[in-house]
Amino acid sequence: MSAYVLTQAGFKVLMLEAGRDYHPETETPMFYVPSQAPLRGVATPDKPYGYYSADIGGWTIPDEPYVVAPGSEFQWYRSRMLGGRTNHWARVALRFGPYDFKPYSRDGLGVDWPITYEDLSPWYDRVERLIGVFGSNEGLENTPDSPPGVLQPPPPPRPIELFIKRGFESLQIPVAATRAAILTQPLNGRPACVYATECVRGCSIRANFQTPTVLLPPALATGNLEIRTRAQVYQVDMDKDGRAGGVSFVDQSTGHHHSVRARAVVLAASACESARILLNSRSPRSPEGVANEHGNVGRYLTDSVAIGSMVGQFPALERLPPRNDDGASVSHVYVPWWGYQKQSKGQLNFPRGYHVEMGGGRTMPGMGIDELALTPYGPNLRSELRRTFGTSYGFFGRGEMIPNDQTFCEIDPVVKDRWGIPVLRFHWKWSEHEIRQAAHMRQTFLEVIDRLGGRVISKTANTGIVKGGAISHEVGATRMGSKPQTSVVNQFGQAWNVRNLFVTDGGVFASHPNKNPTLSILALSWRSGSYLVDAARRGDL
Amino acid sequence: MTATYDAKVSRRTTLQWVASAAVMPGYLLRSMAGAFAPVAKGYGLDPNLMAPEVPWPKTMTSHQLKVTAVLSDLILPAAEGAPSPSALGIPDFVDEWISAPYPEQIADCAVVLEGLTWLENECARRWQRPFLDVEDRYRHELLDQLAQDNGQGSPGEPRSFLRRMRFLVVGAYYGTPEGFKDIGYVGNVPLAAYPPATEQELTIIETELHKLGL
Repeated sequence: MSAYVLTQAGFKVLMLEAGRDYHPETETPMFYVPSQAPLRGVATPDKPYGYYSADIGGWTIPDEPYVVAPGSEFQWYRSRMLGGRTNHWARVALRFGPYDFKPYSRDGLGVDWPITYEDLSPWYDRVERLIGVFGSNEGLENTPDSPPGVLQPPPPPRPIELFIKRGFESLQIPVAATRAAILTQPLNGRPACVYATECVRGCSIRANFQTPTVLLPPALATGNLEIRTRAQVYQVDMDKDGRAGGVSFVDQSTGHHHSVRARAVVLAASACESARILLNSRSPRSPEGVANEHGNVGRYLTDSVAIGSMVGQFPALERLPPRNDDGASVSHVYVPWWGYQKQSKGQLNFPRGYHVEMGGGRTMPGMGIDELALTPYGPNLRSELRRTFGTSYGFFGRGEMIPNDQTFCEIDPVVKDRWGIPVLRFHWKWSEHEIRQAAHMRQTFLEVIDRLGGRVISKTANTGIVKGGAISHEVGATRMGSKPQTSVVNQFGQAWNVRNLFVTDGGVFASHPNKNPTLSILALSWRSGSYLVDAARRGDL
Repeated sequence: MTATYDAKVSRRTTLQWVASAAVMPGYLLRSMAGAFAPVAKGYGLDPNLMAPEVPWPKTMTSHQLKVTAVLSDLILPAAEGAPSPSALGIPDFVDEWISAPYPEQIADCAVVLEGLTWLENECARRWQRPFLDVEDRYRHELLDQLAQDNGQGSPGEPRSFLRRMRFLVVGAYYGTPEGFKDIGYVGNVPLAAYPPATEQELTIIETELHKLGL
């Protein structure tokens, strides 16, 4: 997003990407089926989201280790491709609401953001118009509406979603249309979704949002953008006057180290990688790393709260005739957090909320479908599978984690990657707030499944809270704030003491609402880029 | 598929192999199946998604494949208009799976090979014939016994064997166009618009919700 904003404003931008070049138009396995893929496409350590997923990277990357401190459980997803995680994300695009920017003022935990919802809402409008987001305005608490004409119409709910919706509603839990960065109408030369092929594979027709098909083409068309791939940035090079002079990187193809100079440096390497770059930028002037005068870089790390998969099978749906449930890949409905009033009255034993994403029905069958049937083997197994196919539905909570002092990343004193660059060491601890929230999540899903006459069929249904990092929503490691003592950057992502150094990834989040981070990263990044443009034009960098 | 699963070893050799393998731990079975091949490589972080291929060598013997074919077709027998698993090459998929160099598959390799060995041993012990020569009613007797497996395992029985074979056979079978047709998956086609629920669908849902008191 930063490159898009800066090149549109006429600035020359060199983008350094650690991964390889990537072209969704020619590299997306649209319509491929499981039997065409190794192991029917199941997830492996090489492809953690499945063979067809548009991700190159994963929880472990050869020669690029990281360390998890004793007593901590954490896994770090890293992307190594142009466009990063925007290629394989679920496309759920939820705005943060007014409460989300002032959490400390509401319950005394964490910190407030240095901005309000009103500061960011115009940037949400712009992002939604540019990338295309479907959804509807439902007037729900802390779940902001968009101005008229900004959202695209949502696809109609699948029949199974109408059924599930009633289960939630019987518990007085409202269900809303999902908001997702998928086109239901053509936009800026991009066609609408064809309601086939999961978005996680990327989209060769450019109907969903991923950086290489939506933001990079117009940026490149300005003639102002140069992209250098397989360039792993590891350090901000500081000039004698305390300004960022440029960065140093390793060319992964050759192993050679290079330095480039720039008027301004923008880090958008993902929250923890940007923190690592800052921490590794040590000099006599900044022995603990750049922008780390108060030791805040790497602290306040969070991920989303979630539990192991919870899938129900619903006999009531067995009479529905075959129909195409592919839809827009993501579920067309979701459950925004509904407990704000109860929490403010002290009726819940955890302070922050979660939303519920869902999925199921007659999706493309593959490995694991045997869980639908109880028959161990024989002719009845086939008839049971025919009867129950399409009647299962899974629930996925995504909750807010409050930053705590035991959860952070730092430079490991010993371990280095293959290029000799010190690596991160992670510390992780869920607090009672998250553990209780996860228990509530589990109880809610069990109640909904029970109300609808279902049985739990997922094998991991008893799993508690997931490992840190598992949802790959890690944010907060370079948080923004209203003063340098408690934050790394100001409200524009600008380092407090280095005026021409910016961070524009999820690292800048001051808190981590339950809503998925991508849309807010884009909005904050656009706001930040716009500020950078104005400051540069004023000669104020 | 008969040719694919033709045994290349004699019945006598098979029984000898079974007798010796029965006392070996899983990792040795694996080595045996792979003729002590070095650990294969996976497809890496960045395989060509447009031209998928399986880079690791398959390691099952033709005899093991043949037993797997019979077993697959017992787990999910052919039905009218629906081919058998062996006709769709599911035994080859089982081979691909248990030969793969990833943790889940390596764990399954031990389970599957141990289970195949158990089938042969039991047939030899009970009926003095190899698995491939006994009638289906005998095979059912063995599978019924395995179906009682609650994951804890009884002494001498392969733990989780039928459960994992069922996972492999059923999942692999329904991940094919033929499987889609059989189970009623009608998606994976481009649509100009996503259709809302039909009157018939709404009526069924309302009726069922009413029964549930909702």
